[in-house]
Amino acid sequence: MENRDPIYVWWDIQSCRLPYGYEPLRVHVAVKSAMRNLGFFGPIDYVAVAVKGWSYGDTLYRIETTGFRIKREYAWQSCSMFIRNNISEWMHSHEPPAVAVIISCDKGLGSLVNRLRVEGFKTCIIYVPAFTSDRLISVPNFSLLWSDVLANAPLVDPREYGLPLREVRAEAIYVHPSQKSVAVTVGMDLRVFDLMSCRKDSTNTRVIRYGASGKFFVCASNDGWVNIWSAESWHRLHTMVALAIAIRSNDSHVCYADTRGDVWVVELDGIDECKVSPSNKTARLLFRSSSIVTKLDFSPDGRYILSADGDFKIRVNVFPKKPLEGAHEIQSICLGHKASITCIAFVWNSEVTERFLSGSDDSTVRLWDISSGSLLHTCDISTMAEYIEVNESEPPAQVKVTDMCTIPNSSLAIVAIQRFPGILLLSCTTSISIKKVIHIPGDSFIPTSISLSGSMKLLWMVSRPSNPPVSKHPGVTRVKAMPCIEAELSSILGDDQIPGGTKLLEQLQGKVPTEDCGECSTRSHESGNV
Amino acid sequence: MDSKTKPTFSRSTGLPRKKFFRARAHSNPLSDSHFPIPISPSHVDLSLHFPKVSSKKTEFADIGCGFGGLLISLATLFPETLMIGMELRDKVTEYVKELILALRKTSSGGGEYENISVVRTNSMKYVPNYFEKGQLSKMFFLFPDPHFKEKNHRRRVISVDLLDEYAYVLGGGGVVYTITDVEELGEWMRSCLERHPMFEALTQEELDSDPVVELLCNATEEGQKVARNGGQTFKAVSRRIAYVS
Repeated sequence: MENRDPIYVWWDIQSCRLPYGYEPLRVHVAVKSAMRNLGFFGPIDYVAVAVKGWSYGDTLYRIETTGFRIKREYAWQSCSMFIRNNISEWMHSHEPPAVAVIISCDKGLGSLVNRLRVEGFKTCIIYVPAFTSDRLISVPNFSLLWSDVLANAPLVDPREYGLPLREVRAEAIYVHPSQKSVAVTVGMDLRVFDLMSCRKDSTNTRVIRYGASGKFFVCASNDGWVNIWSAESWHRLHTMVALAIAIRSNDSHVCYADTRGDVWVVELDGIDECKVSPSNKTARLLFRSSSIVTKLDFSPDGRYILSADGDFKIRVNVFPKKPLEGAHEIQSICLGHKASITCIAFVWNSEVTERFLSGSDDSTVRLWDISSGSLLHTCDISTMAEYIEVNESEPPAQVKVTDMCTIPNSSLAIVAIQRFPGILLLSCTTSISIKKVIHIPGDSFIPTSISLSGSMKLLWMVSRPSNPPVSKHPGVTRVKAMPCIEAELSSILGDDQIPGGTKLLEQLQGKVPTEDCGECSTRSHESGNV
Repeated sequence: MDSKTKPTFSRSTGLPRKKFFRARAHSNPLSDSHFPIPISPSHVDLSLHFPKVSSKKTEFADIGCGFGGLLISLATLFPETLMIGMELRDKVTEYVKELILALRKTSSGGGEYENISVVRTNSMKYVPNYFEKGQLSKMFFLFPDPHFKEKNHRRRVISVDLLDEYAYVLGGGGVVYTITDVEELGEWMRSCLERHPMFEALTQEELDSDPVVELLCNATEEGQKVARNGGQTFKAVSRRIAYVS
């Protein structure tokens, strides 16, 4: 017998936000199907509250079109007050049986939910674990994860509502070192394609890193989890929002940076195929930077850990023998960049060691010496401005470096630039020079994240849809590969020539002809080392 | 100094008058203010600060120098060493600049006070921009802001994390001098220095034989105020040591 009690939904938009790139029109469907799964089939009434100016007006408009009644408040504290007052008023004028669904992380709702239960209403809380506590979660009849609810909604094409598709941003691609699997983050999804089997994981992933041995990877999600995944199982390493992850080359330690500039370290012991167990299960503070840390990397020999921060500098710390006691010795500080640093890659071959490259939004790629921190050379790539697709209405293009990787055992680096449908090949011995400009033929494919796999010598690239849309399928994530043998890049592989073939592409890209993957998000980040 | 056109300067001594340069004691160190920051230590133009001295590097840094009392006293004690004061508040930095220029002009022997200068900057964030690795031999933290609330302890200028950066710019053997009249802060600073593996506290004999130590209490305006009110001061002085990790 289906339960047809009326359902009332309150959503605090500032508390449980929509992930970047998520189509707002899907929310009401998501909530409806979550209720169906719980066994409630009654009519639903939706109310939402948002802070005026914090969410895009367009987002709120789309949410309203689907049936939400939105109250616009002026401060985030008033949002939780509004929800409490609204629910209290509602309680006086409504009688059980009914279902009250509250989408919020406000811990103070616990007593209100308790009262609802006592009165005889069914209660459900949908929450984000990192921002709330057991005080709230243990009270209602049902509790669901916000990310689960959002992920289970079918895709919606905004054009059916007469609304345009929304501009979306970069993907990220991560290649397992021995190319056993390829992972692509597309919006809410983390799609992992194993060449042996397929697995689709759904978390609101932000950053990911493969360990060099390939036995595990660590990913950080926007919901505030840092998880370590091995072939069979996964462990929660930490509950906080991490912006950058680094794994030491011998898989001994994992470091990650949070939103306040603190860098944490976890010691992993005994990684084997079946079990991954962080020892002590607690992370220790490795060091703290005075500004936010956006990139973390270990040098290939594991002696140093590099962090790029919001003051445009790269700090090289000596990774100590007892990292759990903190890394206090700074080896060098690399100063010179004038805008945010987007990517770091090491130049490490038989002739040259202890060098690294950094690419940044200031249109330069710089070569540094690790132990002295001195700037060896700056390569200005603003000369590439002429190749960039530009709209007339937009201001002059700034050539921003989006991603970079070095070809091992050579002094060559591959660089992806914003809005350029191709890649650059740079040669970096004592100085950096642009060796080759490679255009990628076909549908304007602008790589936003690139990754090199060692064993099979392929350069994998992921692109975001171009704006204005040039191809037939503007909303689709696309994946391409280019062979890279003996430090020479040949031409792009056709779809059927990619290892894994069309099946891999289908898994990673989504079904190309019919479905629109309108939601794509997260910043780009490189994979583990080769 | 023509006092009609520059009323902020004293007619008799030719030095700027503090009352025209007063500013609030607090300034948020974690916010990004809009003052120019050198891209790297090699971009710091020392000729602007020390016009009569060339081919030398700054060795002493007074973090939060306030009205410059310590710098003035140290200038004559170490006439061959270049020293720089760092201060976040712009009015106070203006005062110190004018003071140094006036002292240089009116100095009797000629050539005095050419070795001190001041720069307006946020030393919690930008110390590595001004100084290379191991450049400094002394750093001074006199009467820093206590930031009493626990949530503000992050803003304290001496903390185990910031000591990493100070250890970077101080060479081996470099000394950090701290003093405060707030007991809790004094205990905090002492314990941070003790916990940090690259700093070792000076022994009592070393403190007694260092001429700088007694300047900590009475050279600055803040120190003189504490002495007037009969308050107690708490010093913590440590040397930077090599660290084998």
